[in-house]
Amino acid sequence: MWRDTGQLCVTGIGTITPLGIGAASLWDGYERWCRVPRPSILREIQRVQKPSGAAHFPDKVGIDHLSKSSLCVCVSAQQAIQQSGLDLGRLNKTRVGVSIGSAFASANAVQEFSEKILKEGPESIEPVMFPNTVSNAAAGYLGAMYGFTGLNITFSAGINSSSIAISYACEAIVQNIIDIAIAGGVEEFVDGQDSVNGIEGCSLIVIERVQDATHRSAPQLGYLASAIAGEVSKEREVSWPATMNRTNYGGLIDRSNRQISEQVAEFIAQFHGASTAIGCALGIASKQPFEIRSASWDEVVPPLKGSLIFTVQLNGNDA
Amino acid sequence: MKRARVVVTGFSALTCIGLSARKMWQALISGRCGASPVEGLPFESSGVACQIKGFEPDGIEEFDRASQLAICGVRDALEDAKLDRDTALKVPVLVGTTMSGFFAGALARTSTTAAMLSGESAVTMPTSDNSVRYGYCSSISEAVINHLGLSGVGITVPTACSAGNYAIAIGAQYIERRSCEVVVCGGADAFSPIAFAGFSRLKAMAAEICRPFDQDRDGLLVSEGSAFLVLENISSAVKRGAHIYAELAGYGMSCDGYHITAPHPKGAGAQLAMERTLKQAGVRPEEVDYICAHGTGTFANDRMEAEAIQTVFGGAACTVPVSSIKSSLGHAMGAASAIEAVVCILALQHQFVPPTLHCRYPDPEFAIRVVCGTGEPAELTYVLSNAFAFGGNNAAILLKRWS
Amino acid sequence: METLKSDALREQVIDITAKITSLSREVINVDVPLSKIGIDSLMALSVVAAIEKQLKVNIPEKRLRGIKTINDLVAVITDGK
Repeated sequence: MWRDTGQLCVTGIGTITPLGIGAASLWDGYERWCRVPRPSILREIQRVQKPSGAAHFPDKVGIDHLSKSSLCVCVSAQQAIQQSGLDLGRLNKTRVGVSIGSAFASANAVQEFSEKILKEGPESIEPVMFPNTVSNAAAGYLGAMYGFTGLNITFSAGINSSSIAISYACEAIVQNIIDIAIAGGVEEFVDGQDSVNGIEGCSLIVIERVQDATHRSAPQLGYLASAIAGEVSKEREVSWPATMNRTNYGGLIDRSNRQISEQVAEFIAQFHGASTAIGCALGIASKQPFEIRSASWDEVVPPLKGSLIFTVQLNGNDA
Repeated sequence: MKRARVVVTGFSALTCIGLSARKMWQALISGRCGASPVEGLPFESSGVACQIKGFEPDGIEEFDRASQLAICGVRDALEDAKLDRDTALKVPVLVGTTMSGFFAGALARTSTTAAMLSGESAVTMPTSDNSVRYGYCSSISEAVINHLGLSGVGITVPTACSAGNYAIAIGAQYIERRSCEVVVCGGADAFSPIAFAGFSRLKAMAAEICRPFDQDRDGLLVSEGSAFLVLENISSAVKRGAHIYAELAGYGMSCDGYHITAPHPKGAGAQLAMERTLKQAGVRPEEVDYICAHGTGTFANDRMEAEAIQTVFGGAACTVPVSSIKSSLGHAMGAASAIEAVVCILALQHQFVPPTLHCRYPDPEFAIRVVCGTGEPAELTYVLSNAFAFGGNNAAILLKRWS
Repeated sequence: METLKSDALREQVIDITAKITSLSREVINVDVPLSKIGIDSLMALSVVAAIEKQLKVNIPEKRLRGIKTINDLVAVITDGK
C-alpha cells in the first residue's frame, strides 16, 4: 500500500489485441465497439493473431516456438520499452522487475501439448513445447530476453490477475526493491473452449517513480495512484482483504456519466485476466481522467469471492 | 513503518510418503522413498515417478486432483492453526502451482479422452463436465475459496517449481505491510503426465532413482502433493494464544534473466535469492544451520546450486549441512518448496537434518557438505530453503526456531 | 571411408539443425560454439531430438554435457554407433 501522492507514473505502454497493435488502436476499437449494438456479453471468443517472433526479434533463434501469450508479452514489452525511452545498454537490470497476470496463462499450450501426446505419443513432443506449458513462461521469457533480474512474478486470480500484477509491481517500487517495472496482463484462450466469452490480448505498462521519469525526461503518460490492503482514500471506503463486497469494474471517464463508465467496464471485462492492464492502456489512450477498479465476475463461473479492491487512477497527460 | 514479524501457526502436507505432515516426516527420516513404476499414464510410456497412493477424498469429486490436493491442504492447515471460525473464513489464500487443473481440462476437451482413459488413470477426471471450472490457471485457488466457503481473496501464484516459496513470501509481505493478520499459503500440484513427458523430452528425468548432488545423478522424478502454512502476524498469534511453530525470518526472490529452462551457469539468480533472504533476516551466512536445497537431481541444477551456495556461504559452505528431500519425495513441482518449508519446520522442531536419501558419492566438484543416506541430529536455529524454477524464477525462505 | 561417413553425417546434422532452427546452412559453422550461433540449450535439445528421430540413434544426457559445437555433436553420434 502506498499513499495517494501520485508518486508513480506510466512511461510506456504496449498492447496487442484483435483490434490491433498499440493503445491508439485499442481506443479506436473501443469507440467502434460502443457504436455497434450488442448483447450484454459477447457470445464468442475474439482471438489475437500470433505475432511473428522473427519479425520483431530477428536475432532470436527459435523465437517463434514461444506460445502466443509469451510472444504477445515480448512484443508488447518491446513497444512499451521503446516508448519509455529506456536505454537498455545503460540500465541497471537488477533493478527492473516483470509482473504479469493471466487467468488462463498457459492453458492453451497445455491443450496443444496434450492433444499431440495423446494422438501421436511422447516421442512426437519437441523439447521446446514443454516450457510453454508452465504459467510463468511469458514472464520468464520476457525476463530472459532482456536480462531483467530484479523481480519476475506471475499471478493468476481470474479477472483480478493483472490488477494484482500491477499493484504488486507498484509496491515493489515503493518498497525500493526495484526502480522500474514492466507489468500488466495477457490472455490466450484455449482452442475448443466452448463456454468462455472474451477477447484475447496483452497489455503491459512501464512503471517508474515520477522523480526518476522526470530526471531522464521520459514521457509521463499517466499517473498511478492506487491502494490495496486497507489504505484507500476515505471516499472510496473499501478495505482489503475484501469481504463479500463487490465493486463493479469501472472506467470512469466522466464521473457524472455512468453510462460511459458502464460501457468501459463491460469492454474491459472481456479481457479477463488482462482486463485491468487493458484498462490502463485504454485510460492512457483516452487522455482523460480515468479510474479502474478490479471486479468480481460472478456470472459464468462460480462466484469469485473476495475480489481484490484495486484502484488505478490515471490522469490525462496535460502536455 | 516497521515490518510486522511473521510466524507459522499452522501447517499441512500431503505427500507420496505420507498423507499428513507428521507421517511424511516419520517416513522421511526412516529412509522411505516414494518412487515406484509410473501408473495410469494416458499415453504409452514407462518410467518411475512418485505418485500418491490412497488419496481419494470424499465430497470433492467434482474438482480435478490438483484442486482436491489444494482444498485438503488448506483445510488441514487452517484446522491446525485453530483460528476462530470468523477469522478463518476471511483468510486470504495463496496457492502456488505449476500445472493447476490444466491437464484435466485438456482431457475434457480432447476427443480421444474416452478411448484413452479406462481402468485406473493417473488423472482422475472431475465429475463436473464444465471444463471451465478447472481447466485454467486461476481455477485451483478458486476451487479452494469456493469449496471451503472462504470470503478472503484467492490468488494462484503459478511460478512453477518455486511457486510454494513465492506464495509464502508474498503471503509474508501482506502481513508485514499490515494488509492482513493471517494468510494461508503454499502449493499444490497433481501428478502431471505433461511434466513426466516434458522432463523426459528435456532428458532431465532420472531412469530410476533421484540422486541429488551425487556424481552419478541423472535427473529428477516427477511427484505430486500439497503443503500449506498458516502465516500470522506475531502480535495476533501471541494475543490469541496460538501455538507458534516457527518464525519466517526472511525470504528473497530473484530472476536469473538468463534462459527459460537452463539455470544461470554460475547460479547468479540463486545466489541473489539467498543473499536477499539473509539480508532481510539480518542473518549472516555462517549462522545458517541447514540448507534444504532445491536439489532436483539434474546435472544442471545441482551444479548451479552448489556453486551458488559456495559463493554465498564462502568458508561456511564446507560445514553447513545441505540435503535435498527430493531424493525421497521426488519433485512435486509447485508443491515442492511448500512441502520443503514444512520439512524445515519439522526439522527445527525435532532438531534433525533429513537426508539426501540416495546420494552415495557427492560430486567431488562440489565444495559443500551433503548429508547423505541417513539424516543427522543437529542444533538448528536457522534453516534456509531454496527453490528455483523455469523462467529463472528463484525464491528462498529462512525459518527460525521458535522458543 | 571413415572420413566420408563422418562428412556425410556432418552434412545430415547441419541439415537437421538448419531445419529445426530456421537458420541458413551458411550460418551454421561447425567449429563455433552453438551458443555463439544463437542456438541455446533448449534449441540444442530440439536439434538432438530431431537427430535421434531421423538417424535412429539415442544420445544419453551424460554424453550431451560436453557438447559445444556441431563437430562435438557429430563425434558423440559417431562414438555412440
